Amino acid sequence: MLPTEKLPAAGATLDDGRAAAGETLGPARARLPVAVMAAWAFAAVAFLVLATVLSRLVLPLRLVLVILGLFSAYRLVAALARWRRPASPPTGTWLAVGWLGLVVAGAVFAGVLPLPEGLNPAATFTVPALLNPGLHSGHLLGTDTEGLDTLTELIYGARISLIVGIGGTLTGLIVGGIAGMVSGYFGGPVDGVTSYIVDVLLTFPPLILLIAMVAFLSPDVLNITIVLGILALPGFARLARANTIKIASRDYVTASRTLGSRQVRILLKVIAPNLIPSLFAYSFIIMSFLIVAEASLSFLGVGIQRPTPTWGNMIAQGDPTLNAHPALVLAPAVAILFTVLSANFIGQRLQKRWGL
Amino acid sequence: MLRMLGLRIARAIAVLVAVSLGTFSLIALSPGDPAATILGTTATPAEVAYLDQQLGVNQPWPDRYWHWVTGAVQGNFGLSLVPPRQSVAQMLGQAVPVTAEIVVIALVLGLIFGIALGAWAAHRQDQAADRIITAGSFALISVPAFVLGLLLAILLVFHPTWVRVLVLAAGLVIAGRALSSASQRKPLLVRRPGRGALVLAAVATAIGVLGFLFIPAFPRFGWTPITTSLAGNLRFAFLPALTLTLGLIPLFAQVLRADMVQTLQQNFIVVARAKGMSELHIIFREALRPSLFSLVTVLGLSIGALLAGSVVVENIFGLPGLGSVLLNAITSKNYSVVQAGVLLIALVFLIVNLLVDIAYAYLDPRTRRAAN
Repeated sequence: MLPTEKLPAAGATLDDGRAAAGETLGPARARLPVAVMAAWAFAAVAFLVLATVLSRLVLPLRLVLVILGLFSAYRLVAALARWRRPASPPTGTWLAVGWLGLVVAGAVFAGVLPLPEGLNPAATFTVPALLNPGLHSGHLLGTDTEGLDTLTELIYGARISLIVGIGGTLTGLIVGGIAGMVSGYFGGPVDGVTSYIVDVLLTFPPLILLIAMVAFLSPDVLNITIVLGILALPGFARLARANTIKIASRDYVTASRTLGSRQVRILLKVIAPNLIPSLFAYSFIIMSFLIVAEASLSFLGVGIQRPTPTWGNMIAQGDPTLNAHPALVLAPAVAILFTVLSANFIGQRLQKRWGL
Repeated sequence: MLRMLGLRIARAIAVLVAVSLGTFSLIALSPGDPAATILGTTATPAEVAYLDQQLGVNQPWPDRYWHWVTGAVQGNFGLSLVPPRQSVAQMLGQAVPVTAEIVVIALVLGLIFGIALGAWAAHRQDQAADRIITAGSFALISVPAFVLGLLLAILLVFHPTWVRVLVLAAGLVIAGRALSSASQRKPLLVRRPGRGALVLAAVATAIGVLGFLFIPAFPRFGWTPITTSLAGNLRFAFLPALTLTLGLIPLFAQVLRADMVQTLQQNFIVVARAKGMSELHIIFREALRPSLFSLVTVLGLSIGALLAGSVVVENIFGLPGLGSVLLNAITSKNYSVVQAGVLLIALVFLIVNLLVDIAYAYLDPRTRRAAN
């Protein structure tokens, strides 16, 4: 508790320093709408992807997801209308955003695209197996041992990666973020218990924890998403806790408390909006980590099983013919690589801008 | 110091108890009748009875847990649930040396190259070498272990000629750069430019030529114990260890660079420079120790990543290590092995992080008194 009590003085001097340097709350407030917009865009995409893809869900639930998605999109447009454009971001960012956009578009529209058969091995009797990549065969990236089109599998695999990555990140973000915020704000026994749970979760090497949990659950998309959410939880909790402690010592929190705001209002209206940027930046990095974790599981054969194609189990399937047909491994490997690089790149950029 | 250590150990034990409870309760949570899940539909009643007795299905769970924990403390993890029915401790005992070997090799190589590259990047802050190292490590960190392993397999197993040519070319390019920069009298890592550049050029050329002549084709699968043949053992261990270490080097380099850039701006470094110490002396004798904090933390955490990475790598290269045993146990639902393996890994991870805490006290005397 000691360091927490010391913090107000340090925070006060920091704010004074900023004010003295002419950098008042103005620019900090001007930066925030970008974070809010990014959060709404993320939410809109996430809800719409989930609504499109989780076809097993009942209709009302999908409708709710669609409405939530449209609402987020509306908020995004509303925020865009109020926003002044800063200088255009550099090439690296464009490439990263472009690739992620491509993956998201592929995942959303996979069912509509005119793709060769890539899901049902019974429908590919007439297609030659292990076709090499080429422009003239109609199979741009070739076919696998069952005659399934590699590009189609890749696009459907993007669905799994995104659902699992975004779903796991959202779970970790919401649960871990709230837990971290509450424990950072209240301290005391609440903090003790939360920190202990986080410590226990962090005791396991991540992939081992994942394997151990999957060993006892059937590895379908929902279970994997939940398990990945548990994996993402401690990181978010720690970040939220550390940043809440910093934010809680700022003057505007004290001001709000002096004005008689209730605890819930302070947490939701004062602290949470200031937490969102750093958590959002971190969630890109976590998303890439979770995508890799899911791919590793599938590669090891304990994740999502064939015939559902995922990037990981595509690589595992191409592994035995690695020498003769490296494209079967290289295509999904490159997809994973680009996705992870893009997400990490964006995450780092955002962390530099919004990290506390 | 002792008090801090005691607290840490008590905390570690508390975490370990939670971990053992967690792995234990996972079995209780697994859906369906365990014996039926493990043995399938073709089991004889005798097999089911044996398994039920092994699992202690008929006892209340605190008894079962106590029985298991008391056994585990004595190194007795029971018998494998799936034939062949050998002792779990023996199965793990055979697998641990394999994993330990590749992890230790990867760690040592990672530290050597990571510290060298990180220190060099910090020394050449914001110059070309720094930018190349920083960007390269960012890219390499993003490569998942199983992708890296398969890429290495494509190169070093199936196309060793490409690698030989690449190594030769890289050696010659570095030598050429060193010589050309020496002729322009730019300072290199070693203070006297002429001789250092010559040495660097000679070493780079030598490594390139030796690599071109002697890089062998590595085996795709398999393992030779170190007691049978050292050369054969290293040939099998090389690719898995390389895969793991290529994940570590960029991590260590990034972390060390960040700390060392700050250390190099401090007054005692300026004093050392003013005294006319060589750059090598300043970086490795003066600046290294105070820059090691984050590296030591990351080192402790990376043991976890290494143990997880070894599961992947052992799968790719067919090594009979801890990861393979664990994975086989999971696919055959051999829960007693999963339990013991997970507990063992958590134990190793906890011990390493305890050592990290002790290392802090060694690196910075101030933390010795900051017990809590």
